[in-house]
Amino acid sequence: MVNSTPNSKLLCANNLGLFLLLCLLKTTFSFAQEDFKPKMGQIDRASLEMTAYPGDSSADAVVLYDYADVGFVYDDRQGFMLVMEYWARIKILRESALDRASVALSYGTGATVDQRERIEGIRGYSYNLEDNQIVTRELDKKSIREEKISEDYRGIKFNLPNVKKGSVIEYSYRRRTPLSVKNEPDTWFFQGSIPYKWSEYKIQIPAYLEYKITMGGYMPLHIHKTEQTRVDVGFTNYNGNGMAYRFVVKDAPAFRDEPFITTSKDYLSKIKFELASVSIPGQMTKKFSQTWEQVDRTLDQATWFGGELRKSGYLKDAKAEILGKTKDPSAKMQLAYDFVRKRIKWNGYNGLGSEDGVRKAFDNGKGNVSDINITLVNLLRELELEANPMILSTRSHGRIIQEIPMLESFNYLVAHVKIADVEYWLDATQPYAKAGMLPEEALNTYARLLPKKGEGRFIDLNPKDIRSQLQIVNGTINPQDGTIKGNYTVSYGGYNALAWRNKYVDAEESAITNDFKKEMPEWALQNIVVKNKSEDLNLSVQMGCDFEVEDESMQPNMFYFNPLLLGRWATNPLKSQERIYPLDFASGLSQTFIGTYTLPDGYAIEEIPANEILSLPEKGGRFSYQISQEGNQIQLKSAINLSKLSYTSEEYHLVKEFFERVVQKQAKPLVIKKK
Amino acid sequence: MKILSMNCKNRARFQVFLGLMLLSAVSVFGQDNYAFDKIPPALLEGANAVVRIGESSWEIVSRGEAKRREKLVVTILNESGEDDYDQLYVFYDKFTKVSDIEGILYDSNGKVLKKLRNANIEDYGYGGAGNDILDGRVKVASFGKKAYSYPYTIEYTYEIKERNMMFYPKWRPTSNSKTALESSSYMIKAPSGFNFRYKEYNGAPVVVKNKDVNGADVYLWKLENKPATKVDESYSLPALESLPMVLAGPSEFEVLEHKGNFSTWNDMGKFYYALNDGRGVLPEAVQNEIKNIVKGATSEREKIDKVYKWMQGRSRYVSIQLGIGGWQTIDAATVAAKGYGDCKALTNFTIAALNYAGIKSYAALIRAGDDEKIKTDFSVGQFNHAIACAFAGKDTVWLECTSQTTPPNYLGDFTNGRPALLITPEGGKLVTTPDYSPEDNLRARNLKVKLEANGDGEVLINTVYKGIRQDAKRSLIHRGNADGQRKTLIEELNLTGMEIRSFDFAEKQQPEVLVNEKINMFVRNCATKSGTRLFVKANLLPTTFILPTETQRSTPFYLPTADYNMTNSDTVTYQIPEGYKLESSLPAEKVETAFGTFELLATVTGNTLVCVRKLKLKGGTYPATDYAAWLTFIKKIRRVDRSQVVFVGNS
Repeated sequence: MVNSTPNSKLLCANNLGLFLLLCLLKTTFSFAQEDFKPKMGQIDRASLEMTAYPGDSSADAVVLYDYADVGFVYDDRQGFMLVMEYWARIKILRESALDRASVALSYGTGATVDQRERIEGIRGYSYNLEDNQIVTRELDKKSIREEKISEDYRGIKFNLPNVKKGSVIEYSYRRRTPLSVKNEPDTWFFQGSIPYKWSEYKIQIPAYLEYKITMGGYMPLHIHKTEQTRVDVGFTNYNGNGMAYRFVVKDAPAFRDEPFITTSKDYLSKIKFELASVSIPGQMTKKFSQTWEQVDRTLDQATWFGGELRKSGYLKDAKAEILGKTKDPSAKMQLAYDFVRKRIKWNGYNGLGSEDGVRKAFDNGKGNVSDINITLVNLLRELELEANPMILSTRSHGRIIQEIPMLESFNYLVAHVKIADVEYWLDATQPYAKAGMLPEEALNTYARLLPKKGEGRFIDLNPKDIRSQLQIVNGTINPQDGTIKGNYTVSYGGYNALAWRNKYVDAEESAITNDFKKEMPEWALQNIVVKNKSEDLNLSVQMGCDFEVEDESMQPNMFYFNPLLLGRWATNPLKSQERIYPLDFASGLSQTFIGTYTLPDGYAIEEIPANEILSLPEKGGRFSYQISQEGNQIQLKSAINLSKLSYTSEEYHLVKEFFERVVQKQAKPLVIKKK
Repeated sequence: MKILSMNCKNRARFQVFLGLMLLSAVSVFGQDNYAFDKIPPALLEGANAVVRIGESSWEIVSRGEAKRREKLVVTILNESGEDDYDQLYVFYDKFTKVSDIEGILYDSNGKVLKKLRNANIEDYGYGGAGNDILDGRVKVASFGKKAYSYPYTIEYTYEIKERNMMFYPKWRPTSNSKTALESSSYMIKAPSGFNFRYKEYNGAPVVVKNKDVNGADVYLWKLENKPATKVDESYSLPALESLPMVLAGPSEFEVLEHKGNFSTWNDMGKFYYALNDGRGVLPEAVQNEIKNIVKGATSEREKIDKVYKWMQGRSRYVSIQLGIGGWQTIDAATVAAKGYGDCKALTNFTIAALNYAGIKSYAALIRAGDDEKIKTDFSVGQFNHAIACAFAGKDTVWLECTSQTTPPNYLGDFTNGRPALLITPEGGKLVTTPDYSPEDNLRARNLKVKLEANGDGEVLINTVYKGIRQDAKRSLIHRGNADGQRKTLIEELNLTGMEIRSFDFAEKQQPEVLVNEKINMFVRNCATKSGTRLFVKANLLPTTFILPTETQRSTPFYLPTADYNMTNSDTVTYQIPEGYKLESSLPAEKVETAFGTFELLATVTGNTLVCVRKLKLKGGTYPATDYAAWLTFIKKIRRVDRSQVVFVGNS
């Protein structure tokens, strides 16, 4: 699928079909491929005559050409600059795509003039067929509007003229970004929400700048060319050898978002850069992260990370307080975890680095994930526990690729504690997670543990908790008046408990009972009780009530009755017939319903659904439906368990079928007749 | 559907804040003491925050200038209260100058903890998209990164110099139902004898008039000790009909070099007309184009339709809110040249084009949005959108000029059934846009289901949508690609085991606007096979009515007409497989209520089961005494919708 050159190394990161290409290439190699090079300001008639895109007849627009050419120049005042020439050409096929002719760009104004970004050379055209003639209209420079967005950003907006259904629009501009502001070019996506006919990315890199280039996604490269070149940065001292790369993806379909994925970024075709080293002869040599060990070292040396991990004075009182209470390691861990959770409130921000220093966050009582969990590590270390930071990437931030050491891959940090060979993961941003439980968002394949001494290592983030729910109904059926009376309890454990607590611990009692009632609006409820709201986070939350419900189909002589009064899977969560990407559930599931019903004398079961057990391969999931009758009692137990969290797109059908059979089975009523 | 246009939108947002943050330089209280324990306990119940002092003042200097001062002292009780109040937003534009934003943070004892510094005030432009071009900016003040323990109190004050006197602030002190008010007031001060207008609504306090030491007229509205609303009820009345509110507006005013008068709707229309007069000239080439287009049209209506289609095909919506209060349009020639404009510019362009086609038409100002209305008895700018109204003889033909796909004379729930101000050369004229009755908003569905012995079924669905009901479908036709359309259909139909084999949409505009949807699908376990029996749903496609948890009610309840004025007429014809005979059918149901009617009739003939279900609802406001009947009605529908016809096999 990927055209790789002889010297490139094709890595298969995992069995999920994610392709990676390491592109630190030394030789030249090129393919004879169909090429495409339009001319700015000139349009071909065929593009205007197109009324639907052949690859996707219902697309409202198609990107005909999406192009970036990135290079480096040296500026006397601003130093090295990244210069990107950007060019887009889009065919508008339907009215809903007209907004694409309205363009908004923004750039950073920088703390000093040297750090100011620039956008210049904006050109734009619209093309239409009018009376079978090609009519070209140029963007009027006067209608380009520039405005201040905030202290740090300015915006540029323009609207291309004369754009209607059938038009082709085209615009280009140059963005100049000082390297002092941003080390590397932005990630380039070869795909988007509409089809891309041709997406091209070129970059010329002087030899003294070394970038690590990675590619991801599911689209093959149509052109992949690498050659040695002379790089002119506009300053003799810095001119010299370098590499020129060219990547083209052709005919990329519109990206389709699907449920149960980590983040679309993990699935889109893209190219990504990270600065590995700068080595200007006679001037400077600076290595940025390159191997994992170097990533670790970079972090350790960063004031905002390693520096903050070496502060502990601010925790003196906390340490004394905890040591005054216990010497037991586990108890110390629990107390430290409780202390930090209560002391510093999470401001909702992620990030590896502390914002204004952990000390400041500690004083403010508020901080980002790094502030909080570095403080936790510091405190645990003060308490003489073996505690270390463990860095990871949240699900919405995207997967970490172990083969490609990159600092930017991470955005989250938790504490790792080892007590007598048992490892714990602690995240003090979560007020209602028990010690050792990471939020689902943080469970993304692996994390990297950074010990105080010795080498860092990867740890598999297999969730230790699941989403669990147990529902128990005990009821008496009365066919004479068509009612079922009884009591109901539900327990939420694991991630279900966490979700419940996040929502309800601080909520008013009336809100809790109201939402509880909404789950069974037709029931008359009494004596609603809530147990263990947050008293012991290690145990589940319980809610219970007495109930009475009228069953509409009940008749004195014969009635149909579905014993799964609650917690029925009404529909299949997997709806699409086919799937392109792997399925990825964040955590496992256990959902059990036990219903016990007493029939009055003189009634018997006429027909009963058969018991059933279904399994997914490799013990990935299990559904059991067991119904039994003893005297005048009927008992049903329905249990769904899912433990395997990821499935390939080929396995999708198995999982879909499994879910479907759950829904079908749970819909089955039994028939009860008067003897 | 569309970003609201006209500057009034920003106004509206502004005024929401105003409602919360009322002020004056001189506090109505003597010695301020913001200690938490001074709050009357009754005010803490169910509240996230308590407004200790909210003072809003509008000091009219002249017809062309006013000063606004705001002071808000609010005690924050929890995180939700903090989300609502920890930041101050001050919106402004070229006509407004903001000065003196000040803030103080107090602890629970009323002791000063922190004062706002300039560094805590940020300034942003808003309208981030390329098609959203406006003058408006916002200053945001907050006390930064520190967490404060609850309860604590924030005081914000600021002052604004206003030079756009078309709009006066509106006062709506209880717009946040989870905030209790200790004291909230609105003061208007005007030079002695200065003429302006105001009106109180929904039980707002009555004005107290006075003179200050300099002889200026002082008008004061004040509300005290108002607890938070305990439970948010379902079906609540629209804010415009329920929340206490004071509207105020100018009689005569000045803005830039323009003089106007808003004393009546007619006056307001005159001002708008004059402001935009002479902006409807089109170049000769475009004039000729229009004449060509309407050539051969045999009626005025046909001409209107043709001009409208032509306009839709050559223009697009871009929100441009620059200059005088967003009320002056870009001239028609510019729109013709660029092919874009905002609602008033596109309306102006359409009217200009219609004029060249010999058709009479006017711009109409309206408050667009789902269930949005205005107070017709008080002429102030309550509008946020403009549409065109053309005349075919005496018949009005309404035109939404910002859409490229809306049929002529079709107003969806964005602008239907509400007052609009027609801008005629003789001045403004308040009219009402066409509304849709329950019968108009029809979904007529015909399902044919061929069941297999195992319960699987082949299902053909043929549905006609009319009135507002076709809006969403038409948007699906025009906005979605086939993939998205399929996804939406799957979500809507939501049957487990369904597999859509094909689907198709057709739109019609004449003689009435409708969408016809056809779906061919296969549904595994369409009927539930259990043992020897086959359970067949009377209503195959789920229609969920949410049953509210509140069983009692003390206030009138409101069913928005856009959602509730509707008719569903469904017929499902099942072909039952060989070898099954009927075990139990369903009784015929017919319920007639004040809210509408519901019917179900299931008939078995041979191996055919036909279920006919009809539901007609009527939106509106109903008295609290009808609430129990409404619940009974929904329960009945829910129950019948779940019921099944049972067949038993031979074996």
